[in-house]
Amino acid sequence: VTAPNAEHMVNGYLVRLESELADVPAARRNEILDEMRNHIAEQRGQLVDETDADVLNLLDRLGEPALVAAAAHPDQIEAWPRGGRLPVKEILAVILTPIVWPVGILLVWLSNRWSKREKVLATVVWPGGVWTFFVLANLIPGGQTCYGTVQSGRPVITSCSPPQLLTFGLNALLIVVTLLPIAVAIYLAVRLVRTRHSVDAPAHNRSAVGH
Amino acid sequence: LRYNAYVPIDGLATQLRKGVIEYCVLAMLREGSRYGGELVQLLHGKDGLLVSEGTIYPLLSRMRADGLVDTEWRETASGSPRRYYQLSKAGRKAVDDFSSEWVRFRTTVDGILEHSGGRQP
Repeated sequence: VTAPNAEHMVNGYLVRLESELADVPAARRNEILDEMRNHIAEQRGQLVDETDADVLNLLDRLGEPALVAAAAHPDQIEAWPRGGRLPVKEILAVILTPIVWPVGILLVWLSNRWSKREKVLATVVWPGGVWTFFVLANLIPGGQTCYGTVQSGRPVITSCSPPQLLTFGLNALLIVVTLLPIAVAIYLAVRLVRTRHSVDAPAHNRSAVGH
Repeated sequence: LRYNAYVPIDGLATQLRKGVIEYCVLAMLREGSRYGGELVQLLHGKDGLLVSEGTIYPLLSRMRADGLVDTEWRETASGSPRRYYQLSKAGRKAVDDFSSEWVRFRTTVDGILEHSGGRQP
Protein backbone atom coordinates (compact mmCIF):
# COMPACT_ATOMS: atom_id res chain seq x y z
CA VAL A 1 0.00 0.00 0.00
CA THR A 2 1.56 3.30 -1.12
CA ALA A 3 -1.13 5.61 0.35
CA PRO A 4 -1.69 4.27 3.87
CA ASN A 5 -3.36 7.48 5.07
CA ALA A 6 -5.52 8.16 2.03
CA GLU A 7 -8.85 7.00 3.49
CA HIS A 8 -8.20 8.84 6.73
CA MET A 9 -7.36 12.06 4.89
CA VAL A 10 -10.37 11.88 2.58
CA ASN A 11 -12.76 11.09 5.42
CA GLY A 12 -11.29 13.92 7.50
CA TYR A 13 -11.80 16.32 4.63
CA LEU A 14 -15.42 15.26 4.10
CA VAL A 15 -16.19 15.49 7.83
CA ARG A 16 -14.83 19.03 7.92
CA LEU A 17 -16.81 19.94 4.81
CA GLU A 18 -19.99 18.53 6.33
CA SER A 19 -19.39 20.60 9.42
CA GLU A 20 -18.86 23.76 7.36
CA LEU A 21 -22.09 23.05 5.49
CA ALA A 22 -24.07 22.73 8.72
CA ASP A 23 -26.34 25.68 7.93
CA VAL A 24 -27.14 24.46 4.41
CA PRO A 25 -30.45 22.55 4.09
CA ALA A 26 -29.91 18.81 4.54
CA ALA A 27 -30.93 17.84 1.00
CA ARG A 28 -28.47 20.28 -0.56
CA ARG A 29 -25.75 19.40 1.93
CA ASN A 30 -26.05 15.70 1.09
CA GLU A 31 -26.07 16.48 -2.61
CA ILE A 32 -22.84 18.47 -2.33
CA LEU A 33 -21.17 15.81 -0.19
CA ASP A 34 -22.21 13.04 -2.60
CA GLU A 35 -20.82 14.95 -5.55
CA MET A 36 -17.56 15.66 -3.72
CA ARG A 37 -17.29 12.02 -2.70
CA ASN A 38 -17.83 10.88 -6.29
CA HIS A 39 -15.36 13.45 -7.60
CA ILE A 40 -12.68 12.29 -5.17
CA ALA A 41 -13.33 8.61 -5.97
CA GLU A 42 -13.17 9.29 -9.69
CA GLN A 43 -9.95 11.28 -9.43
CA ARG A 44 -8.36 8.65 -7.22
CA GLY A 45 -9.40 5.98 -9.71
CA GLN A 46 -7.28 7.68 -12.35
CA LEU A 47 -4.13 7.59 -10.22
CA VAL A 48 -1.53 4.96 -10.91
CA ASP A 49 0.25 3.83 -7.74
CA GLU A 50 -1.60 6.30 -5.55
CA THR A 51 0.46 7.92 -2.82
CA ASP A 52 -0.49 10.04 0.18
CA ALA A 53 1.00 13.02 -1.63
CA ASP A 54 -1.33 12.41 -4.60
CA VAL A 55 -4.33 12.44 -2.29
CA LEU A 56 -3.12 15.59 -0.55
CA ASN A 57 -2.71 17.28 -3.92
CA LEU A 58 -6.21 16.20 -4.91
CA LEU A 59 -7.68 17.64 -1.69
CA ASP A 60 -5.63 20.81 -2.15
CA ARG A 61 -7.15 21.29 -5.58
CA LEU A 62 -10.64 20.79 -4.15
CA GLY A 63 -10.02 23.64 -1.72
CA GLU A 64 -10.31 24.39 1.96
CA PRO A 65 -13.72 23.11 3.22
CA ALA A 66 -14.66 26.55 4.56
CA LEU A 67 -14.02 28.07 1.15
CA VAL A 68 -16.01 25.35 -0.63
CA ALA A 69 -18.90 25.77 1.81
CA ALA A 70 -18.88 29.54 1.29
CA ALA A 71 -19.78 28.93 -2.36
CA ALA A 72 -23.08 27.44 -1.18
CA HIS A 73 -24.21 30.85 0.08
CA PRO A 74 -25.26 33.14 -2.77
CA ASP A 75 -25.66 36.15 -0.52
CA GLN A 76 -22.04 36.19 0.53
CA ILE A 77 -21.03 37.99 -2.62
CA GLU A 78 -18.99 40.76 -1.13
CA ALA A 79 -15.57 39.73 0.06
CA TRP A 80 -14.52 40.81 3.51
CA PRO A 81 -12.57 44.07 3.25
CA ARG A 82 -8.87 43.55 3.57
CA GLY A 83 -6.19 45.73 5.05
CA GLY A 84 -7.64 45.69 8.56
CA ARG A 85 -10.59 47.96 7.86
CA LEU A 86 -13.29 47.62 10.46
CA PRO A 87 -16.81 46.79 9.23
CA VAL A 88 -18.25 49.85 10.99
CA LYS A 89 -21.71 49.52 9.49
CA GLU A 90 -22.02 45.91 10.63
CA ILE A 91 -20.71 46.60 14.12
CA LEU A 92 -23.23 49.45 14.46
CA ALA A 93 -25.96 47.14 13.19
CA VAL A 94 -25.16 44.54 15.84
CA ILE A 95 -25.09 47.13 18.63
CA LEU A 96 -28.15 49.11 17.54
CA THR A 97 -30.48 46.24 16.64
CA PRO A 98 -31.44 45.51 20.27
CA ILE A 99 -31.36 49.16 21.39
CA VAL A 100 -32.59 51.27 18.47
CA TRP A 101 -34.23 48.53 16.47
CA PRO A 102 -35.39 50.44 13.34
CA VAL A 103 -31.89 51.86 12.73
CA GLY A 104 -30.10 48.62 13.58
CA ILE A 105 -32.27 46.42 11.40
CA LEU A 106 -32.03 48.92 8.52
CA LEU A 107 -28.23 48.64 8.70
CA VAL A 108 -28.52 44.84 8.76
CA TRP A 109 -30.54 44.90 5.53
CA LEU A 110 -28.16 47.40 3.92
CA SER A 111 -25.19 45.12 4.57
CA ASN A 112 -23.97 42.30 2.34
CA ARG A 113 -22.35 40.42 5.20
CA TRP A 114 -25.45 38.52 6.22
CA SER A 115 -27.51 36.15 4.12
CA LYS A 116 -31.16 36.84 3.40
CA ARG A 117 -32.15 34.04 5.78
CA GLU A 118 -30.11 35.60 8.61
CA LYS A 119 -31.61 39.04 7.92
CA VAL A 120 -35.16 37.71 7.97
CA LEU A 121 -34.46 35.79 11.16
CA ALA A 122 -32.99 38.87 12.87
CA THR A 123 -36.03 40.89 11.79
CA VAL A 124 -38.81 38.55 12.84
CA VAL A 125 -37.47 37.07 16.09
CA TRP A 126 -38.35 40.16 18.12
CA PRO A 127 -39.26 43.25 16.10
CA GLY A 128 -38.73 46.41 18.09
CA GLY A 129 -35.84 45.49 20.37
CA VAL A 130 -35.85 45.91 24.13
CA TRP A 131 -38.12 48.99 24.03
CA THR A 132 -41.10 46.86 23.11
CA PHE A 133 -41.28 45.96 26.78
CA PHE A 134 -42.46 49.44 27.70
CA VAL A 135 -45.03 49.41 24.94
CA LEU A 136 -46.35 46.07 26.10
CA ALA A 137 -46.31 47.14 29.73
CA ASN A 138 -48.67 50.00 28.91
CA LEU A 139 -50.93 47.86 26.80
CA ILE A 140 -51.44 45.15 29.41
CA PRO A 141 -53.97 46.24 32.03
CA GLY A 142 -52.69 46.05 35.58
CA GLY A 143 -54.64 45.54 38.79
CA GLN A 144 -55.13 48.47 41.17
CA THR A 145 -56.94 48.66 44.52
CA CYS A 146 -58.56 51.94 45.53
CA TYR A 147 -60.24 53.12 48.74
CA GLY A 148 -62.75 55.84 49.22
CA THR A 149 -66.01 56.98 50.69
CA VAL A 150 -69.42 57.93 49.44
CA GLN A 151 -70.25 61.59 49.83
CA SER A 152 -73.57 63.00 48.77
CA GLY A 153 -74.33 59.75 46.99
CA ARG A 154 -71.16 59.96 44.88
CA PRO A 155 -68.04 57.83 45.36
CA VAL A 156 -64.91 59.76 46.26
CA ILE A 157 -61.57 57.93 45.95
CA THR A 158 -59.19 58.75 48.77
CA SER A 159 -56.23 56.50 48.02
CA CYS A 160 -55.04 53.87 45.54
CA SER A 161 -52.37 51.21 45.71
CA PRO A 162 -49.58 51.45 43.11
CA PRO A 163 -50.44 49.87 39.74
CA GLN A 164 -49.57 46.19 39.89
CA LEU A 165 -48.22 45.95 36.37
CA LEU A 166 -45.28 43.76 37.21
CA THR A 167 -47.23 40.61 37.71
CA PHE A 168 -45.64 37.23 37.31
CA GLY A 169 -46.53 37.05 33.61
CA LEU A 170 -45.13 40.47 32.96
CA ASN A 171 -41.92 39.61 34.77
CA ALA A 172 -41.50 36.60 32.54
CA LEU A 173 -42.21 38.80 29.54
CA LEU A 174 -39.59 41.27 30.74
CA ILE A 175 -36.97 38.53 30.76
CA VAL A 176 -37.94 37.26 27.31
CA VAL A 177 -38.14 40.74 25.80
CA THR A 178 -34.75 41.64 27.23
CA LEU A 179 -33.01 38.43 26.25
CA LEU A 180 -34.41 37.95 22.74
CA PRO A 181 -32.99 41.17 21.22
CA ILE A 182 -29.63 40.44 22.88
CA ALA A 183 -29.73 36.89 21.48
CA VAL A 184 -30.42 38.35 18.02
CA ALA A 185 -27.41 40.67 18.36
CA ILE A 186 -25.18 37.76 19.42
CA TYR A 187 -26.46 35.69 16.49
CA LEU A 188 -25.68 38.50 14.04
CA ALA A 189 -22.20 38.94 15.52
CA VAL A 190 -21.45 35.21 15.32
CA ARG A 191 -22.64 34.99 11.73
CA LEU A 192 -20.61 38.08 10.86
CA VAL A 193 -17.38 36.55 12.17
CA ARG A 194 -18.16 33.19 10.60
CA THR A 195 -18.72 34.82 7.19
CA ARG A 196 -15.34 36.54 7.42
CA HIS A 197 -13.60 33.28 8.15
CA SER A 198 -15.43 31.50 5.33
CA VAL A 199 -14.56 34.08 2.70
CA ASP A 200 -10.97 34.66 3.71
CA ALA A 201 -10.11 31.10 4.67
CA PRO A 202 -6.68 30.13 3.34
CA ALA A 203 -6.13 26.79 1.64
CA HIS A 204 -4.24 24.65 4.13
CA ASN A 205 -5.50 21.21 3.34
CA ARG A 206 -2.43 19.50 4.65
CA SER A 207 -3.15 20.51 8.19
CA ALA A 208 -6.87 20.28 7.59
CA VAL A 209 -7.03 16.64 6.60
CA GLY A 210 -4.40 15.39 8.96
CA HIS A 211 -6.74 15.04 11.89
CA LEU B 1 -3.80 53.60 -8.52
CA ARG B 2 -5.31 55.73 -5.83
CA TYR B 3 -8.58 53.84 -6.27
CA ASN B 4 -6.87 50.61 -5.31
CA ALA B 5 -6.67 51.90 -1.77
CA TYR B 6 -10.45 51.48 -1.61
CA VAL B 7 -10.99 48.46 -3.86
CA PRO B 8 -8.07 46.05 -3.44
CA ILE B 9 -7.39 44.27 -6.70
CA ASP B 10 -7.78 40.81 -5.14
CA GLY B 11 -11.15 41.82 -3.68
CA LEU B 12 -12.17 43.24 -7.05
CA ALA B 13 -11.23 40.00 -8.81
CA THR B 14 -13.20 38.02 -6.23
CA GLN B 15 -16.30 40.10 -6.77
CA LEU B 16 -16.02 39.97 -10.54
CA ARG B 17 -15.52 36.21 -10.47
CA LYS B 18 -18.47 35.63 -8.16
CA GLY B 19 -20.63 37.78 -10.41
CA VAL B 20 -19.95 35.80 -13.57
CA ILE B 21 -19.00 32.22 -12.64
CA GLU B 22 -22.60 31.05 -12.51
CA TYR B 23 -23.28 32.35 -16.02
CA CYS B 24 -20.04 30.89 -17.35
CA VAL B 25 -21.13 27.46 -16.11
CA LEU B 26 -24.55 27.95 -17.65
CA ALA B 27 -22.87 28.94 -20.92
CA MET B 28 -20.79 25.76 -20.84
CA LEU B 29 -23.99 23.76 -20.61
CA ARG B 30 -25.39 25.37 -23.75
CA GLU B 31 -23.78 22.71 -25.92
CA GLY B 32 -25.21 19.85 -23.91
CA SER B 33 -25.27 18.20 -20.53
CA ARG B 34 -22.05 17.75 -18.56
CA TYR B 35 -21.04 16.28 -15.23
CA GLY B 36 -19.22 18.14 -12.47
CA GLY B 37 -15.75 16.78 -13.18
CA GLU B 38 -16.10 17.73 -16.83
CA LEU B 39 -17.00 21.31 -15.90
CA VAL B 40 -13.99 21.43 -13.57
CA GLN B 41 -11.71 20.40 -16.44
CA LEU B 42 -13.23 23.02 -18.74
CA LEU B 43 -12.87 25.74 -16.13
CA HIS B 44 -9.37 24.65 -15.18
CA GLY B 45 -7.77 26.43 -18.09
CA LYS B 46 -9.76 29.62 -17.56
CA ASP B 47 -7.51 31.77 -15.45
CA GLY B 48 -8.98 32.81 -12.15
CA LEU B 49 -12.56 31.72 -12.78
CA LEU B 50 -12.67 28.83 -10.33
CA VAL B 51 -11.15 29.49 -6.90
CA SER B 52 -10.83 25.77 -6.25
CA GLU B 53 -12.25 22.66 -7.90
CA GLY B 54 -14.52 21.88 -4.98
CA THR B 55 -16.49 25.13 -5.26
CA ILE B 56 -18.17 23.88 -8.44
CA TYR B 57 -20.42 21.50 -6.51
CA PRO B 58 -22.03 24.01 -4.11
CA LEU B 59 -22.47 26.26 -7.13
CA LEU B 60 -24.18 23.52 -9.17
CA SER B 61 -26.32 22.58 -6.20
CA ARG B 62 -27.41 26.18 -5.78
CA MET B 63 -28.18 26.49 -9.48
CA ARG B 64 -30.25 23.33 -9.31
CA ALA B 65 -32.15 24.68 -6.29
CA ASP B 66 -32.77 27.90 -8.22
CA GLY B 67 -34.16 25.95 -11.16
CA LEU B 68 -31.42 27.01 -13.56
CA VAL B 69 -30.24 23.47 -14.26
CA ASP B 70 -31.84 20.04 -14.31
CA THR B 71 -29.97 16.86 -13.46
CA GLU B 72 -30.10 13.21 -14.32
CA TRP B 73 -28.00 10.20 -13.35
CA ARG B 74 -26.26 8.28 -16.11
CA GLU B 75 -24.38 5.03 -16.01
CA THR B 76 -20.71 5.15 -16.91
CA ALA B 77 -18.22 2.64 -18.22
CA SER B 78 -16.28 2.86 -14.96
CA GLY B 79 -19.28 1.56 -13.05
CA SER B 80 -20.41 4.36 -10.75
CA PRO B 81 -23.18 6.57 -12.14
CA ARG B 82 -22.61 10.27 -12.63
CA ARG B 83 -24.97 13.18 -12.12
CA TYR B 84 -25.24 15.16 -15.35
CA TYR B 85 -26.32 18.79 -15.42
CA GLN B 86 -28.27 20.39 -18.23
CA LEU B 87 -29.79 23.80 -18.83
CA SER B 88 -33.39 24.24 -17.78
CA LYS B 89 -35.66 26.66 -19.63
CA ALA B 90 -35.02 29.27 -16.93
CA GLY B 91 -31.28 28.62 -17.10
CA ARG B 92 -31.22 29.11 -20.86
CA LYS B 93 -33.10 32.39 -20.53
CA ALA B 94 -30.76 33.51 -17.72
CA VAL B 95 -27.62 32.90 -19.76
CA ASP B 96 -29.15 34.49 -22.87
CA ASP B 97 -30.09 37.59 -20.88
CA PHE B 98 -26.64 37.68 -19.31
CA SER B 99 -24.91 37.37 -22.69
CA SER B 100 -26.62 40.42 -24.13
CA GLU B 101 -26.21 42.38 -20.90
CA TRP B 102 -22.54 41.42 -20.69
CA VAL B 103 -21.82 42.67 -24.22
CA ARG B 104 -23.46 45.99 -23.42
CA PHE B 105 -21.62 46.28 -20.09
CA ARG B 106 -18.24 45.28 -21.52
CA THR B 107 -18.61 47.70 -24.44
CA THR B 108 -19.39 50.55 -22.06
CA VAL B 109 -16.44 49.82 -19.76
CA ASP B 110 -14.05 49.25 -22.66
CA GLY B 111 -15.17 52.56 -24.15
CA ILE B 112 -14.47 54.42 -20.91
CA LEU B 113 -11.08 52.74 -20.41
CA GLU B 114 -10.01 53.37 -23.99
CA HIS B 115 -11.34 56.92 -23.96
CA SER B 116 -9.25 57.70 -20.90
CA GLY B 117 -6.22 56.76 -22.99
CA GLY B 118 -4.73 54.62 -20.26
CA ARG B 119 -3.33 57.72 -18.58
CA GLN B 120 -1.36 57.05 -15.46
CA PRO B 121 -2.12 59.29 -12.48
